[in-house]
This record gives sequence, structure tokens and C-alpha cells, in this order.
Amino acid sequence: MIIGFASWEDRFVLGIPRDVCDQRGERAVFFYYSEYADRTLAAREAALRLCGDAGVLAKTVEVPQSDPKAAWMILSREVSEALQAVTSVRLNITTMPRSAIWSCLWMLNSKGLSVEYAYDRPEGYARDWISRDPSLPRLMYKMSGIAGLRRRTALLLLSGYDMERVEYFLRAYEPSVASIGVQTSLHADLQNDERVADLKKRLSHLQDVSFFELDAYDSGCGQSQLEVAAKLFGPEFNVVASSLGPKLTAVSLFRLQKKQENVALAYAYSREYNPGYSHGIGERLTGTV
Amino acid sequence: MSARQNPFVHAGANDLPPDILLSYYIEDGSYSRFLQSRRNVFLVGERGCGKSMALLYNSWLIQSLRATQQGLSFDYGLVGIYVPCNTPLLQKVETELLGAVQERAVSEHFLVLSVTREIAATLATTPSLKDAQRNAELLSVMAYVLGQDFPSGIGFCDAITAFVDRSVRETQQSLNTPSAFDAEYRDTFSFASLILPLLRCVKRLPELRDSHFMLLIDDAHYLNHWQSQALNSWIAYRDHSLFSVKVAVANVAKYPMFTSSGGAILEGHDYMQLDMVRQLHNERTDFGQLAWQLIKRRLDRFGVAASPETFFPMSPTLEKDLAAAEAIVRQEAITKFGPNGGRKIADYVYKYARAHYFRSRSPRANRPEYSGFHTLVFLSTGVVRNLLIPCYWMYEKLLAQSASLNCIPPSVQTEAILERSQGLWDRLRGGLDKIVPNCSREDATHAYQLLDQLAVLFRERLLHHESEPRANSFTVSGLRQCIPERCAELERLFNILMEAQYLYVRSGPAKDKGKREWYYVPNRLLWPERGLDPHGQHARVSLKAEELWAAAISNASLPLVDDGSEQPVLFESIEEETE
Repeated sequence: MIIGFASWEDRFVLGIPRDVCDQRGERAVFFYYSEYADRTLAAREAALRLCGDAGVLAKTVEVPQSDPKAAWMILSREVSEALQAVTSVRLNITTMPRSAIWSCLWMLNSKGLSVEYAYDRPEGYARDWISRDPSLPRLMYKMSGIAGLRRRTALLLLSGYDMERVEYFLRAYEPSVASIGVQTSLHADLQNDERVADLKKRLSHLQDVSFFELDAYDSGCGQSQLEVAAKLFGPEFNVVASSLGPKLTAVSLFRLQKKQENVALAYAYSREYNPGYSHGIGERLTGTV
Repeated sequence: MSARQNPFVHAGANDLPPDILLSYYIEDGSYSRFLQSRRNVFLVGERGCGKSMALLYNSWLIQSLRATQQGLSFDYGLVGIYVPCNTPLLQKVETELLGAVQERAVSEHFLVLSVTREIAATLATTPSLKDAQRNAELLSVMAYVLGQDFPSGIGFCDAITAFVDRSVRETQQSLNTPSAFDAEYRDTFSFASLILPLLRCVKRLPELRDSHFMLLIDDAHYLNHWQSQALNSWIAYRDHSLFSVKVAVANVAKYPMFTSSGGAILEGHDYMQLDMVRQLHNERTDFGQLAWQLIKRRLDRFGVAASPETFFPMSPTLEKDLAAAEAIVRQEAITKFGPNGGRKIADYVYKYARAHYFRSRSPRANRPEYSGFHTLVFLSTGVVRNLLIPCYWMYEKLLAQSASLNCIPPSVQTEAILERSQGLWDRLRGGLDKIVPNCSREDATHAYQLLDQLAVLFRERLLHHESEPRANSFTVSGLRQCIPERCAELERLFNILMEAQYLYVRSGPAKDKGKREWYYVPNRLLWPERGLDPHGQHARVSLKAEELWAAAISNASLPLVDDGSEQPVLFESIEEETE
């Protein structure tokens, strides 16, 4: 079956044919946030039409963004029901919020399923802003690890376009040490180097903040570079980790959290997204968790 | 002084090595006698004002280090046990997926285990615990009380530690499973079932027989509502002989005061409140003196013999210009009040001398200079961290220039201050919605407009106002006349600005004798970029709520009128500040 998350971005609808082309007779469920019901209505209707044309039985399910408990319960119910009839799942994370990616991966893995994920890059992103008005950061249900007492807190952040988010998390968690992953220039836009340099300068007054590079678009979603960085934080630390950049880093952080029990996944959802968040659709990247 | 280190590093108190924390901390007599007592205390103050430092200083670890350094034996009369709440364990949310009874039990369980672990760590080096028989005795008592088997062959505190670590781990493992909702969590602990028996048990040790234990709970605003209710129930406990609770919170108005039984704790009855924010109207106030000691302590530690005034000298040109302005204004005052005008002359000079300097500058002149230790004190707006940050950046500039480290030249001070001031405005213009929770883009725009119009008003007053030209704080009047929705929106904007530390709220004497009122002080580091005087004066501008709302929402100008915002004269004010 296909699990996706409805969005007004072009690549949500444009990506549907890629998902359903070989899925005749299968099922699809597209979650969407209540808060964006109006903005995603046309896209959802298009998705249902495309699925219908391809012989895929699809439905949409509303989820409240601002009520994490209710969102978790709904996702859990839908995934459990769907798994009664299927044995393989493709998780399209293209327009899926981090918290939903992690929730779905956890729920599917806990049922013993191996999950194929798919991510469609856009042709381009908005230049001025992507998202804003963040919520308070929260740890993820079931993925907050095993925290020890009298340990120092380390923050492991994979940064993205909005460099202010890094400072936001630093301010919220006040870690003893922090390690910030930045996307290598190879796949980043031209202003990325400027933004990273600016962030380094703004954080230069903080002790124990280090930077490392990773490539979210390699076959492991930057897993190997991430694990090297995470090794610095042994059992004397409680590690809070978040994906603030390319969405594929959510996959690599999920894998890390499964391997390293002192890692807790955290997120802060945005209450406002740029309607022009991205445009077009580019290459598809896939993998397995 | 090492050329590679910066004496003004402003790390969090928890990250400072104990000996450095002890050397940096300035003991404040007005707080110490309440913290070092058997009373429950709420320690209130915004980020960076020194709450964590105050609690850590009063912890057993630091106090025993202090005694050692002074060649004294540690007095076990008051034993401070420091408990941080900004930890991943206490921020876990899996309990939300449980039923209400389980959620409450497990939430308190994590808080209780956190406290217990700190008790064990704190008491681990108690001398009589070297005695194996004493260890065995205590273990036997706790095993009986808890119905638990403790590992054998290890000391009492190590056994408690192992027991707590196992319980914390097992509970989390259970919560992380898919069937967590079905578990009963029978083995959770509460204050009454673990902490009280433990404290009573350790009083069997001769050193602790007459001890009073102070639970120093830091950042309690991070607790979930079950945990804060549990903590409040401990505060409401009637018997204060065994323990007391000292709680640090950023904003007491946002901290829920309900107990687990549905009651509420009351100031005066259950706890006393200590406000960490300090009045700052001149360099002689408590904060001014604290700032001097703080900077001096840091300079001493780095081998710099200079006083703060010498290390951060005022520009000679600025000093000369201010002296000239003062002379002119003094002559005006003498003309007005006569040569024996005394207090009236002093008050007149205080109000108008610095204003005259700013007013007499050529419109084509560059921005004023900002230098001198006392300017840094005013720029801090009474917050310790705000004092250290500009000092840090100034020192970094010197390091980058490989210049002499004997003082910060006035030009470097001015450059760093203007850069930091511009940075504050840039961040505000860029939008607080990116950095403050629950702040929309619209809110961010309104917050910027409000501060921008305040800056315009304060500048107009500085250049033209007859009565209180240097006032740079304000009170809000006309609340009854303001539409409730607008008042609520204004309050929300104030909260956003306070969260981002662009605005601070203080309590001070009101015009009506005996009363106190809240007043608002914008972060003084904003003013250099706008050519304003950060020194300000002991006066507040009274602004109507409707006018403030219009400034925020519509970018309307704030009126430049003298609506009777006269404040007590200078010397009366200082007497009131020292109460």
C-alpha cells in the first residue's frame, strides 16, 4: 500500500503517478492536516482521481497538526487497519511532516514490516521563506530513547534553509554540547554556503558547538556521516536530535535512533508554510528502512 | 591572561566547573538569607538573570567546595540538593498516551527518581558512609521500606543510584513499547513513598542528624502539569523541619500553582517569592554594584589588575563633552533656583545634563559614542547575561586584532555595541516568528512596529521633552478605557517581546504612595542603533493602552505629551530602591 501526506506543493500530485503506476488493486491513504484542509482540497481531490484511474483504492484522512496525541492515535489506527490486508508499504515522505514520517516508520517497523520510502525532489524552493511560527519543540512519542539521569544534554541538529531554527533549538534545550550537520554544497543552492557561514558566525560565541557536513541525497541519506558525528556523544550524554533540513535526514535520524538508545528525536512543527514552498518535481530517491 | 581565552564567556551555570562557578558567583545578602533557610522559595527571573547560578551556589557541592577552600569543615545544617528540570527525561511525552491515572503516576515517578538520584549523588561523600556497618544499616532500612532488594557489596548511595537507574530505564522501556497503554505501572514512586523515607533514613547518619534538606528545583517551567502539581504538593507540605523547596521559574505568572489534591499554594502562606530582576536606575543600585563585582571578579581571575572602569574606559571626547554639557546645565539650574538650590540643582542636572549632550550634537554628526563601564551596565537592562555578552564580543575583537589586552579601547567598545544593537534590530525586522514560539508573522510585524514607534517617541522626548527627556521605560494606563480584545492583544505582544528578551517588566513604586506598579523597560541595547541614551533616567512614560495598540497594529505614532508622568525626585527614588 501507499501512505502519503497531502500537500498543495506541485510534487504531491505530480508524484502520484510514480507511486500508483504498478500498484493496481492496492490501497493508498493520504493524511492531511486539518489546519491546511482548504489549501490541500484541490490536491486531495486530484490525488483521489489519479488513484481511481490507476485502480488504486484511496482515501484521505484528516489529522490535527496542533494535537500530537490525537494525530498519533489517528495514524496508529489507520496504519493498524491497513496492515490487516497488506504486507508491504511504500511511504511517500515527499510532503510528509517529520513527526508523521517518524510516527509511520515506528508504527510500521513495530509490526515487523520493512518499509520502502520514496522522496521526490522539487525543481526549486521559495527564495524568501519556507516556514515560520514554530511550535515549542517536543520529543517524539516512542522515539525519545532511554534518557539517563545526571547526563549532559547534547543536541544533534541537521540544519536546512531556515538557519534560525538551529538557534531556536539551542535556546529551547540549552545543551552542554551541540553538533550541527550542514548539507554539502554539492546539492545545495548557491546561498547555502552564505547561510552556513552566517550561522557559524552567530554561534561563534557558544562553547562546544561543532559543525559537520553530510549529503542527505546519497544512498544512505547521509547516514554514515551522521553516525560519525553521533559517536562523539557516548553514554554520558542524552542526545536530542532533529531534522531541520532535507527531509531525507528524517530517515537517517530514525535509523540512528533505533541504533543508539540515548538519542531522542525532537521536532517543532511550523504553523505557517509558504504557499509557494516549492515548485515542480525532480528526481525520485528511494530506499528501505 | 591567556590570549586565547575570553574572561567574559557566558556559559550556562550548569556547564561551569564548580571551582569557576564558585569564583564567579557574587553572593547577594538580600537573597542568600532566604535561600539558605527552611522556607519554600520561588526564585523568579528571566533567562540570564542568574537563577541557576544562585541555586547551584547553594548546593551541597559548591558549599562544600567553598568550605574546603576556606579551610573550614562543612556545616551540614543546610544541605542543598540541586535538581535540573530541563532534561530529556522530564520532557518525555509518552505519558500523554496513557490513561490519566497512569499518566499522573509515571510523570511524578520520573520527577521523584530525578530528585532521588541527586540526593544519592549529593550525599555520596558523607564521611560516615565510609563505615560499612552504617551502609548496611541504611540499606536494610530502605530495603524494608521499599520492599526492594538492593545489590550487595556496594555502598548505600551506589545502591540507591543503581536502584534508581534501573527503575528509570525499565519505566522508559515499558513506555516505548507498542503495548505501553496496557501496562499498569505498579512500581512507580511518589514523594511520600521514596523521597521522604530516604531523607528520614539518611538522618541516621551522625552528620545529618540535624540537617535540613533544601531541594533546589531549577527551570520548573519545563515540568508537565502533573509534575508541577506534584511539586506544588511538596511545597504545601506542612512540616518544614526535614526539607524545603526552592524553585526557579522564568515567569511565575505562567507557572500553575495547583496541587495534586486540587488546592493551590499561596505566596506568603506556602512560599515566598524572590524576584531576581534588579532595579537599575544608576550605578549605585544593587545591580550596578553587582555588575562591578562581577566584572572585577572575572578580570581578577584572568590576572588583570584593572578596575572595570579602567578596563572599559569612557572615550575622553565623550567624557569632555558630557562634562561640558553638565557645566552648562548646572549654570542654567543655578540661574533658575539660585546658588543655594541644593537638591533642586542636583535633580535638574541629573535630568538634563546628558539630554543636553544629545540635543547639542550636530544633526550631521555621526552616531554618539557608547563607551565606559557604566554604559555597559545600563545596556544590560539589569540582566547579568546581557552585561557579559557585549563584553565578550569586545574582547573577541581585541583578540582578532592581536591588540593589547589591558583594556578595551573606547572605539572598540562603540563598534561592538553598535554592531550588537544593529543585530537586535535586524533580528526584530527579520521576524520574531522564526525564533519565538506562538508568534505569527503578523505578531512579529506588530512587535517590530511597537518597538519602532517607542524608539521614535523616546528620541523625540530626548531631543524635545521639557520634563523627563531621558525616560526610556513606560507604564500602561487607560486599561479600563481600552477595548478588552485590544488589551489582550497588547498583552500577547508584550509576552512575545519578553520571551525574546526585547522587553522586560519591572515592579516599582507608583505615584500613589505605598503602591507599586508594573512598568516596562525595552532592552536598552536597542537604543544605540537609534542614537538614544541607554542610561535613561528614573522616570517612566505613561502611555495609554489604546495608543500602544495602535502603534503596534497600525504603526501609528505615539503622542509626545507630558501627561503628568512626574516621578519622585532623585533622592527619594534612591531611598525607595534600597527598601
